Amino acid sequence: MRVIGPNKHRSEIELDPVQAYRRGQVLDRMLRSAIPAHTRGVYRGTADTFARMDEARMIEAARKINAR
Amino acid sequence: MSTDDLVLRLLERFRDEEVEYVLVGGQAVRLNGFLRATEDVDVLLKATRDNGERVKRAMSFLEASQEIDPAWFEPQSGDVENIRVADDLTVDLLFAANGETYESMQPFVRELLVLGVTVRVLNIDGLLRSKTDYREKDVLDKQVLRRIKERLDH
Repeated sequence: MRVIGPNKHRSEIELDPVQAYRRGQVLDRMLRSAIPAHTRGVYRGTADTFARMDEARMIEAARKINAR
Repeated sequence: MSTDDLVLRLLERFRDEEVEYVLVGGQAVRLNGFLRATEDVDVLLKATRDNGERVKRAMSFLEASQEIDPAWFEPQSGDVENIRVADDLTVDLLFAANGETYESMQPFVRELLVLGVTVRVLNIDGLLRSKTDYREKDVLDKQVLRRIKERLDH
C-alpha cells in the first residue's frame, strides 16, 4: 500500500497520551456533529440498558446519513 | 488551573474534590494509545455515599448533575445500576465494568499528566479486563490494545 499525501497523522496508534488526547478531541467533534445529542438529564440503568440506548442513537444517525 | 476543556475540567474537579475514580472506556483506551472517537466520559467509581457526595460537588458545573442522589452510590447487589449525566458533557458514572469494580481495578491504575491535569486511568491490562467479549466495540478495542501491548512489551 502507498499512502498518498501527508501521512503524519494517519495512524490509529498514538503512544503519546497528550497527543492522543488532543487528536482524539478532534475525532470527538466530528462524531458529535454526526449523531443526535443525548437528551439532557440524569439516568440510571444497567450497562446493557445504556448500551442499547447508545446503539439506538447510532442506528438513528446512520439512517439519517444514508437518507441524504 | 481551570480549563475550558470539559473533559479535563471534570477530571480536575474530581481531583480537587478527592473523588475516588478511575477513567475507563473510550477516553482511557485513547490515553493508552488507540486513537478512536468517543462521545462520553466513563468513570469507574468507589461505591460509597461519601464518594457520591464528592462526585455531585465535583460535577456542579454541569447543571444536570444537580439531579444526582448520593444514595445511588451505596453498594448494590444483583444487576448494578450505573448513572448517566447528559449535559454539555455526557458522563457515565459506573460501579462495575464487565464485572470489575473500582477496588478490583486498583492494581491496573496509572496516573498521567494531561495538559496540566493529573488523570487516574486504567492501563492496558485493566482495560482488557473491563471490556466484554460480545460487544463489537469492545472486541475491536481489545484487538488493538493487545497489539499495542505486544509492541510495548518487545
